[in-house]
Amino acid sequence: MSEDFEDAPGMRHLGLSPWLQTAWDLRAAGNFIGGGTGTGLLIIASLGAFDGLYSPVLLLAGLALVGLGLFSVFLEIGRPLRAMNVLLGGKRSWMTREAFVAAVLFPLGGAALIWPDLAKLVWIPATAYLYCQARILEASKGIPTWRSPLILPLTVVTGLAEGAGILLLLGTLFLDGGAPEWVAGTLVAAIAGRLFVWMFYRRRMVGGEAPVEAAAVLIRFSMPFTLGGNVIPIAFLVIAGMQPDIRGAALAAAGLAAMIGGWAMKVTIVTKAAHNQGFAINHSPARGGGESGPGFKPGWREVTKDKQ
Amino acid sequence: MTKWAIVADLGRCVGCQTCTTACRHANATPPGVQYRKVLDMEVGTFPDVRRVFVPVGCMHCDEPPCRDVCPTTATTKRADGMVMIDYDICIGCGYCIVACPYQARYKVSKPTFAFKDQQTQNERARFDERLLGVAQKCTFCVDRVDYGLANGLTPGVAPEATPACVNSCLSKALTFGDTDNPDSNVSKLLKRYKSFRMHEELGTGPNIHYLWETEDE
Amino acid sequence: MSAAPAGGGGKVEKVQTYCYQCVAGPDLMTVKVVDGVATEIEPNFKAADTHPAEGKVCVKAFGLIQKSYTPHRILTPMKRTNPKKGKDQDPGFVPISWDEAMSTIAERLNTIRAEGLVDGNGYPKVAASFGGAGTPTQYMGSLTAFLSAWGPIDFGFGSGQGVKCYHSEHLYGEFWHRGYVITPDTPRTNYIINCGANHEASGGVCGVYRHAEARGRGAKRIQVEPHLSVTGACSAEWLPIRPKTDAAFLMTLLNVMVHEASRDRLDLEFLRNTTSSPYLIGPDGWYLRDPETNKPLLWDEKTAKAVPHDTAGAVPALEGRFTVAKAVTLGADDERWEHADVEGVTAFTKFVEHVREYTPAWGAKVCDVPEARIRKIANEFLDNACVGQTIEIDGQVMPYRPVAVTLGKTVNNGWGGAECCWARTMLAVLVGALEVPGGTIGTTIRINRPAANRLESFEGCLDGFMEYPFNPTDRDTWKANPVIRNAYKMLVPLVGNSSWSPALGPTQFSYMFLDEPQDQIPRATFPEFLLVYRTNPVISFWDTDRVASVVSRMPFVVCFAHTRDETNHFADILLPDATDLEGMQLIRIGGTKFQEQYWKTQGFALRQPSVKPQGEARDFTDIATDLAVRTGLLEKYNNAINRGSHGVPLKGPNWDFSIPLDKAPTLEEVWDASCRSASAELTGGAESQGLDWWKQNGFRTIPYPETNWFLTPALKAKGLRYELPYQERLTRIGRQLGNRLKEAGITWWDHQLTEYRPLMDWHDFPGYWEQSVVEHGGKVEDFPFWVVTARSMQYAWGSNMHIPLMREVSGNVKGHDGVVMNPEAARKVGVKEGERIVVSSPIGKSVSGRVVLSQGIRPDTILMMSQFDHWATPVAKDFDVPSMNRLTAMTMQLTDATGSGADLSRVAIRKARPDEQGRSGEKGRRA
Ligand code: SF4
Ligand code: SF4
Ligand code: SF4
Repeated sequence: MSEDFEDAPGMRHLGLSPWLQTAWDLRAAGNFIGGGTGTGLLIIASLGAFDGLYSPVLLLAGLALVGLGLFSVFLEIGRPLRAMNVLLGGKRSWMTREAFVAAVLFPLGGAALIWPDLAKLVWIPATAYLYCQARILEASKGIPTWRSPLILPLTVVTGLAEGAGILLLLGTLFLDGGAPEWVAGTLVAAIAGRLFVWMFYRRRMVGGEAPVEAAAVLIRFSMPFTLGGNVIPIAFLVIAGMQPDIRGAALAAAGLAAMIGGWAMKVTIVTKAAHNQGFAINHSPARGGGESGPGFKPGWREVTKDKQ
Repeated sequence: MTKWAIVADLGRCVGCQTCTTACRHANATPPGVQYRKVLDMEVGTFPDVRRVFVPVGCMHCDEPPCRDVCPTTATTKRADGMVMIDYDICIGCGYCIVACPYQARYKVSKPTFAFKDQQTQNERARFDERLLGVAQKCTFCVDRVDYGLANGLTPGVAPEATPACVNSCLSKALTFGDTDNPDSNVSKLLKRYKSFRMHEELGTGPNIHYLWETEDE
Repeated sequence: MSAAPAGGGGKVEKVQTYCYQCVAGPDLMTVKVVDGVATEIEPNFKAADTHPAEGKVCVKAFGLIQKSYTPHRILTPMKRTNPKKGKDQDPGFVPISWDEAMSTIAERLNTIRAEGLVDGNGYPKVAASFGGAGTPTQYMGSLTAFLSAWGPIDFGFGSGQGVKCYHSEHLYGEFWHRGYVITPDTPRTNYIINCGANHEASGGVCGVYRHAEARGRGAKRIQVEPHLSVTGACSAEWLPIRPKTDAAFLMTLLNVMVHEASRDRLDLEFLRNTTSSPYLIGPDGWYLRDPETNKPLLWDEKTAKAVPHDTAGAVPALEGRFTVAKAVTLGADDERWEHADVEGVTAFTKFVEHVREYTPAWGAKVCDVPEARIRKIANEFLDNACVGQTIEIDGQVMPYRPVAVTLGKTVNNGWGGAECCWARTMLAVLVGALEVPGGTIGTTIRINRPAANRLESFEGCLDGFMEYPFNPTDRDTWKANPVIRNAYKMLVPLVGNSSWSPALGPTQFSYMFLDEPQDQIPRATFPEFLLVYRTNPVISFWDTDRVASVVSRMPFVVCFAHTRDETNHFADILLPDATDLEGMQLIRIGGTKFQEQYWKTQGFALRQPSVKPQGEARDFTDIATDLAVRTGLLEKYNNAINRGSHGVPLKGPNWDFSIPLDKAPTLEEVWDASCRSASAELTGGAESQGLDWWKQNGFRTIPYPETNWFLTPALKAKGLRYELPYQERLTRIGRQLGNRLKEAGITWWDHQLTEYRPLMDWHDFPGYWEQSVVEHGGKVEDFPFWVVTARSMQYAWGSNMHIPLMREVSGNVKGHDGVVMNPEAARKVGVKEGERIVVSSPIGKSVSGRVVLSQGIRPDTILMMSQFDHWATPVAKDFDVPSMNRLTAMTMQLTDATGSGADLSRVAIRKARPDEQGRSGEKGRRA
């Protein structure tokens, strides 16, 4: 990228091995954070509506998070004046589809503020939106840590964990009597799911599906994430169950930790373990009358076998 | 049908970057934006080492992930295989950049010049505002190819109808032509030599073919 | 769709011109000009059938647009306002008018003319430095005519000659087979042993093209070199040899070929009849000669008698010892001995015995390469030699020997260079592959004449060899006093006395002797006037700090300046010339040129202005004419133009386009007349198209026979032989030179005299550099690494470090960013990729740069590519990449007999301290 060239990376001949993509930075990560947490919240709140849960605060917060996410990514695009062109690619692009879904989600969510019954429908576009986000990452064939099929369940399940988490938090702050009982259970389930998928995801990335450097980032991230974003929330939930006097605070803390854990994971995957594919050759060529030689895949654990 | 492709003979390429500069001239790209560039790879450990020069750039993939993700339809694939960007539609979201497994795409948001803030005469003459903030990449010199086709020339044979990098190559490492035509220059090379394509396992169907050894007789 | 790049509209012209930025040119190109602005460089497709590389130009040519338009360009003449000269002094250049600049210069020159062109010590008062291996003349219009009109000029202030060139090859190559530069006959060769030549970086467009074609045919090249250069990369195999041991390697190959392989694998016919192998050597080491004619004798197997070498019908014995009834031997200085019943040994037998000790086991130890590989290479060379086969080219049947040996910089110059050249030539000789299709051949000549055709450059001498224009060493005509400061004529018989010789002499002496006066020769004086064009010795020579110090003390320096640089930092006047895309000149193309330019055509090409000169830049021809007028030399200058000093004689057998002698010609007049003459020359006087035609057509050629690429048929046609393996003439000349120096009381050239010997042998050449450590007061073990350098195609000879495009694309090629070293070496020093190291040499100089790790280099060697280390040149001064030039010792001890040194030094390496991490190298360097 030209931008890279300007600050003249020390050694310019490097850049065979995968390097960290720079096209999407924190602004893009913001979209996955806002969109994931927002839709997670909306999904759970919407499904909760069947159980009698109705809170404009939750709806508003969910929509605001999704909106902030979209605004964040708007800041990243090179030609903001043409932003509406984003709607042209519906035939193939999950980004367009995400925008389409947003066009349903916002009116519906807004309407649900007026007609509470509609809240029961919000989970539909919210789920679609979350799914679109997962597919956006998965379609990024240039970034091995994104294109993994496991990114789909990971994105969805963390969205739910973050949603449940923020619900606990907001519930403590804004809902009389806090969030409903089952939210904590949902959070436990979502965290369990997230840890489970994460384990597999991490193993596959480290096992050779991601470039060495990206895998190293994931390895470094894994322990703090497991503890801070998953074990600690569970611990807080346990504390909440055991110590009724601090139950509210413990639930809020559990929710907050679970949500921030998800955010940290997204920042890590989108901006830190986001090394591109790099370059590779299957064979070294024969030079004139010489012999050909092995292939080379710099920056990857496994060297391509010479398929002679 | 026609399918334009480049055949790069790794046995010939010397890594001189003449193609890189020829492309920089032909497409008037800003500093650092190399639609064509040639990598310098070192394989093995001392003393059993090889050094391989690998011309890379947009592969004009059969199934281009860049096109698949583009939310604006700015990136398209022509019937003859060329993957194109419409700079007037592109919003510069950068999605195609992360979708491309060949690191072929660039986005430059502000005017950049060889001598920092001093724009030279040739840079002024060729400055293209349309390219700011949008995605850009190798076009297979589509303007030359189309000019040639319109004038009855064979792309890859007549220099006026051939990508600038291919024209400039000192070692004749680069050949441009139609792989759908069994008698074309590129098809003949692919018959005579063993070849591979980069990251083929990703299912992109790239259209730069790398020759690495003569086909056994 | 919006894919077409911008700026294509407007009025589009495609201007045909040439690039001759590097010594591997000229190459033909087209400049695309849109509305008067040059926008693109392209190959000249119209020359696809004429030019040996299909009319292409290399990466450097693409830098010319930025070169024209760089904001750093000097756009007006400038004068220095700060009388103090020093690296740390701001010269205070201020713009002046052309008139002021030219009258200042003329005033100086006229004073010199009035007081005498030569100073009291016998040295020319005017000196000129034009580096670039002759390329500046391709851009200086008719300045050459002015220089010729002027009279004595010291052209000996080098800018890399001797250390950055193929010095031993130039001299010995011309001596043995009229080859100033030696290449394979690449289009036909199948096997190349390449010790360090960097074809893919410095062989130019044609070199790269030809070698790629050869690879396409399946030709095999073995690269023998301490690091894996781009040329090594493009070779079939790489053999990482210990620096400066190539001579041992090549001699080992000779050993395998004569002591392990059966004789019939050699080209015995060639050895017998085309070389001096059968000449009989007497016990005193001189040829046994016929007492009547003084002709060397050989043993005729038919008559079992010693007969003169040119005896018709004789069957020379190649090997053996024979008793000769009566013979004489001729020594140095007319010594003559008579012999009766004396034993004569054939030169070949002497040679065989001489290389006996160079066994593969020995070579493997010296060179640090596996013994088996040496043997394998020698045998593959023999296998591929096709001894006995012939090939027909243009109806002429010639031997076909598709094997070649090439040598690169540092291998073929400095101590050990002569030995490499000899061993290489012997490898070719053993299989008859010298100067025949497929073999090892010379490109062109620069010491002999006529330069245009080396096949016509010789007559035979008494000994049956090609005559050679040695500088005299006999008592009567030896030059006891140097004619220029570097004393080439006095010290180096082989360098001859052509217009190129002064710049081929020991050019470092021009700088050295100013501060280190040598016994028994007049003290070197600073020239009163130094002219510099297209060269930057303060960067590109060895021990550059020392060169800077000398240049800073030059009384008056005029530099043609494109941008500021390290040499013109010390100038008094800067002049902007209309550069590559702006000036006009007609040059000769075709035939055989320096590097791998072997054409099947010859003719002329025009460099014409593609765009208007920037600022007040002036065409060189106008500048030269103005100088001629102001110095009162107009008539001589015009005369020189008419004679063709600028490239084309204006008068031929049946044409005459001479310009009048009394009138200052305009730019157009000079080149129109030149174009007309060129047209006439190419058509035998039938046509006379002028400048307009040439502007339209760019170039014009007539056929040049491919058979002219090979010298052997011409040599045989004259009944001559190559003087190989035995060096009687050189030995004699060396002795005579020794005698002369002794008579003059000169001892400082004694060591150099050891290079003159009949059969070249291995000395511990790396040891010479180790000895240099000791001479500088160091301990060898404190300098455990070797530093070497390599050219880069993006920069070689280009004077183009200020062009950002070159900087950008060179970044794709490893080594342009710092110091290349093996991870094992890095471990020893305790540094990692990208960390900064300080590299010091025995002369007490240090440079610093970042580590570039590579498996493609020996652990005992580091590589500093190209020649960076700029401190004044715009753009380049921010590179922060070191150069080895600052580290290389410039000493008598490291100067070989041809006057050259090598790009090599022992160095110490340490990790830079935190306070040495500055972006600009300066900080690190000061430490
Ligand atoms: S190489 Fe990249 S930019 Fe080119 S078509 Fe393929 S995915 Fe798209
Ligand atoms: S011009 Fe040709 S030889 Fe040079 S780097 Fe490009 S592809 Fe390789
Ligand atoms: S720089 Fe040398 S090789 Fe390159 S185009 Fe010019 S003359 Fe030819």
